[in-house]
Amino acid sequence: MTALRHLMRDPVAAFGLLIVVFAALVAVFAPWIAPHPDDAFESHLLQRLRPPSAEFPFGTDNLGRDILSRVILGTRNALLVAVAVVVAAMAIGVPIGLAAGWKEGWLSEALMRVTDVFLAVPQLILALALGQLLAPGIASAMVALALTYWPFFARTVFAETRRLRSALFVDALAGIGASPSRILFLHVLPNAAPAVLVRATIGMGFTILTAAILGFLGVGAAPPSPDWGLAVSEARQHLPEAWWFPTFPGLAILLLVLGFNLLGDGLRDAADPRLRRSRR
Amino acid sequence: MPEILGASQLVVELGARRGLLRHRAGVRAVDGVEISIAEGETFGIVGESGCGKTTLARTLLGLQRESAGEVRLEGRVVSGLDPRAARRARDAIQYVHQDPGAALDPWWRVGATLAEGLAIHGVGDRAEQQARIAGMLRAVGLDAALADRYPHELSGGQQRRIGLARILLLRPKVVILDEPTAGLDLSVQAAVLRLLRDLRAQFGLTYVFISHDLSVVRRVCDRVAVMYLGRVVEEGSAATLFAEPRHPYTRALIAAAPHLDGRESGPSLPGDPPSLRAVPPGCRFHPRCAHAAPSCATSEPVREVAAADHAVACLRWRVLA
Repeated sequence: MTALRHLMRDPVAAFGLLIVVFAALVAVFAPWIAPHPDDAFESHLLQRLRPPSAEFPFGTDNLGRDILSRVILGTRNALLVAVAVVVAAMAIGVPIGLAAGWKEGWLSEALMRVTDVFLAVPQLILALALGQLLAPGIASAMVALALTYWPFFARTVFAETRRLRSALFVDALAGIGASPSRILFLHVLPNAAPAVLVRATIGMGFTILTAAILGFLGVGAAPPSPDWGLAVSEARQHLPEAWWFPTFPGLAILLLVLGFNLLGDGLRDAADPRLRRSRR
Repeated sequence: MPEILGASQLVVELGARRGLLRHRAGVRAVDGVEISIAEGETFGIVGESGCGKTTLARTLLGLQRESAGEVRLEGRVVSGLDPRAARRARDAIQYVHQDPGAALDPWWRVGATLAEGLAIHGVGDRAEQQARIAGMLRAVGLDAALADRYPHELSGGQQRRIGLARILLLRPKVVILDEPTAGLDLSVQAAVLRLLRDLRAQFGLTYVFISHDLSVVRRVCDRVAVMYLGRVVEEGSAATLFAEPRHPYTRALIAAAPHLDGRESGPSLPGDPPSLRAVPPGCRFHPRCAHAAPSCATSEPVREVAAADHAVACLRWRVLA
């Protein structure tokens, strides 16, 4: 709770948190908030490409669907992808980073070289290739993103573990007879947590962005599901006349990515106990 | 008093690496050290930075593996074991780090850190842990409420007391104190030294006191060993060693120590200690020694008894006396 209070004292981070919490609430209650929840799958060709108005605040798209409703419904997808991908990437990357960082030797070298190979390939290209290999769809995009994002966690955890391995308090723990697994899981991992947390939060924003790009390129979500990247892609043929069509989904992407990035920065400062203010 | 901790012909080689194609020789941070520490005394180890004091301490503790030689603890030989077994065999020795703040996990409340040591040593019962911790915090002169704080919320003196409490909870017999007064102002320093004295009496401890602060060593130590480049060059009771230093290095150290009463201190030693990668032949100190003779560069000094409880390793100590 102290971390949260500290976070709220930082206006920029608080703004980021506000955006993320708002997006999460929208995602949870999407079907009830959206003025036209059926527009996820229904089309109304008679009212296609209407500019923003009182009835359709964000206008309508090429199939006459309310863009506001689709932006709201798309939040769920975006957050789901972000959380699932980051959790999966952490599940792969964190143990690899820990194992490679703790001991030197061939295993560590092998793990880090594999990580380097994954890092050397541009993420988007690899995700595109994997997305094509598996059947296009939101699930394969998620698998592709998780498989391309874990090296960042492995690298981060590796660097932190290496740094902490030689820290004095680790030495002191070894001195009083703590077992390596106790040191690793109870001391090194929590101390590496801020870096991982920051990586994860920024990674959420990054994943949303990449998922939108994949959607835009046709490897991610398939029509007619309400996906922001897909919406921007579909809007291309109607530019510049229907400016509202790509603008609002694009703004949604921008806002959520921004929110995650601001929150990530704020979390790093708030989670570090050395920066916390004393409670006395 | 019988010996509680001793070492003979102790050699510690650091950084040796055996690769597929090339072998890299290590440096001998500790090279043939003989010490014998009696039960209940405070044994000082002094010397410049990099002379191998800390390596010696870590080796005695079992965190650093000895390359050759023997370590004895309470009459048993505890050397030649693999690292984990060595540490377990030397449970009666504990080490207090030079920087007590950095030796505490910044994420753990002080109380949790203290309880952890007990848990590792088989005291799992929460109530007993709490009782022992509260008692120990009182013994080191701290308020029990401090257990709820994080390490960075404590002052340097408090951190040092916590560091002591942490290892005293494990009921050691020998405590290695690495620069226990470094970075403390004089009033706190005096308080810490007083506390150390009281704790020694209360828990029946033996101290190995590593420091380069000669004035402190003179005040608190019963016996002192002076180290230079991985070797003990002079050893004796603190009284005789400071009154009649025999080795030119010891003399130079004592002369160079600053005085608080405004007396001019003597000239400091010329130059830095040579690198361990290029140890001078003959007497290791001869390039910096004011009294070096040509023979010093060729033959190695051996440890000679200069007086009762006073040994020196210098070729010319008789001449210089």
